[in-house]
Amino acid sequence: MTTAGSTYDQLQRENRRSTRFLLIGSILIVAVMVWVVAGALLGGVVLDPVLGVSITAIGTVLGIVFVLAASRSGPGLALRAAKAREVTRQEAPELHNLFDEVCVAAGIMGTKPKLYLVDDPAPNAFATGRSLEDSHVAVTTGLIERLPRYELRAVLAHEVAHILNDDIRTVTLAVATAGLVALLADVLVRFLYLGGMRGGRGGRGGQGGGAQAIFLLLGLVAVILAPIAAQIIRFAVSREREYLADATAADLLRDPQSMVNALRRIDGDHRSLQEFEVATAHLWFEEPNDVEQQGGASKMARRFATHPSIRERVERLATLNAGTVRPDAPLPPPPSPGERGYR
Amino acid sequence: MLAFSLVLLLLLVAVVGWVVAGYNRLVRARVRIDEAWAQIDTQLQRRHDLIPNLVNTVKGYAAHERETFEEVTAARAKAISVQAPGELAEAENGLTQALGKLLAITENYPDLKADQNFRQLQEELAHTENMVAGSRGHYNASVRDYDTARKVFPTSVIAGMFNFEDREYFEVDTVEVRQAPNVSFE
Repeated sequence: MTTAGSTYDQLQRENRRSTRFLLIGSILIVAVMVWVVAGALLGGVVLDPVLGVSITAIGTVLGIVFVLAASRSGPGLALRAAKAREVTRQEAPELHNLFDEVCVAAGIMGTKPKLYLVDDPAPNAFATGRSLEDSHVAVTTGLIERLPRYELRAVLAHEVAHILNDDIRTVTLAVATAGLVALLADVLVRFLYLGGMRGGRGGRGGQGGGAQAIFLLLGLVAVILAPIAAQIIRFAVSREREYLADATAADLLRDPQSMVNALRRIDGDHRSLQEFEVATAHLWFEEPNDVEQQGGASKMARRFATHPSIRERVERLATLNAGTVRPDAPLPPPPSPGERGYR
Repeated sequence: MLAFSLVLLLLLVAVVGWVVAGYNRLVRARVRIDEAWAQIDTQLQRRHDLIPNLVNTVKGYAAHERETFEEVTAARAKAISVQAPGELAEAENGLTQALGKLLAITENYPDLKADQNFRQLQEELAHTENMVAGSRGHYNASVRDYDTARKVFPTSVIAGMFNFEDREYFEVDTVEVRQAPNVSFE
């Protein structure tokens, strides 16, 4: 095995580990929220070790299963939100050629994902689906028009890498738990509000009331902190998977330079997508709303970004493929207008 | 006594389950190699089908380069006739070199390079070469996975028990058909 291969394997292992760690963290946050909500509703019962743990565990599992079941309609929804339409080989022969090259290198010619086109001048792409058999890759018309052959192929490989690495499900889980935490926080807010009114009207006493008061206080803290923490984790998972997909794509085609060039070219393009929803932002190749921030605000904004900065992605690829990648090599010329007929 | 035989039974079930799991893993890896090989075959077939067309188009502009045409045709015939991975790799290397020569010749004929048919063939050839390279990469990765499973303990014991045979890698040179970027990675 080559040294490049082993550093790639190492990256993959590290990435899997950190993703697992983050997902466990977000599930723990859900558990804490369930516990606080149960405490606010039921009072001191949840302080009992056996009852408390079982109520929390059952609530957490039910919540996550419910949210995952609800997100099963995700792929269709994402494609519709982006106004993507399936594209045939007759419409875009070169795009299909490039896609075949990626799929043959990945060994998934038998279960090729479906190809879609999004009418949008901003160069971008995304992958979605529940499994290898039900997977979809969409590219914007801007991407096809602006990227030379091998850079377009690198972007397609990045999307196929998301499918191979099972990122769609991983990131869906992260998004689902973050959504669940937000939902629980919402329940708590309503409960705190109601509880406050009731507390004002009638007296309350006894042990149960005391415990409930503590939970109201805890709830106040949880309402503020938990959703923020869950969102930060969600975005961190999403960013980790981007790095991994870049590396997998470069390794798959043995062409890291084209991956780097594609990233640099897209970085120089400041068009934002016309049709995009915050809920599906994590799916795209690049952050769909192109924002250039500077100073302290940008540091905070980056924590709430679904994608790492392109500079960071290029740097990681260059380190991983030291010696074969030049991050400052001159970019090959873009395709001439009308060179790629796709209609 | 009952507890002892129960433990023994459980142990036996565990060992059998482990052997079955290891055996299935090796079989799956071997099936993947066969599938990857079939894919290489398909792509090489595509390459061979493309060559007569390419030769004819170049002939129209550079009829007197007879020697090169004959070389390409002979290399193609040889590549079609062999079967074993090792021999085939060698024959394909020969074909790659002949094709490289043919493509070098085209550089001297500006009319040919402007020919719409030839440009389309060039994209087809670039695509086919990439498909061959991609399927070869996947085949070699599959052989590597199988080889690892075969040699790493404890699956190596099962591989020895059921005689999982050695598989050959597919090593070839590639013809440089891509125009840009001008960086070689292999």
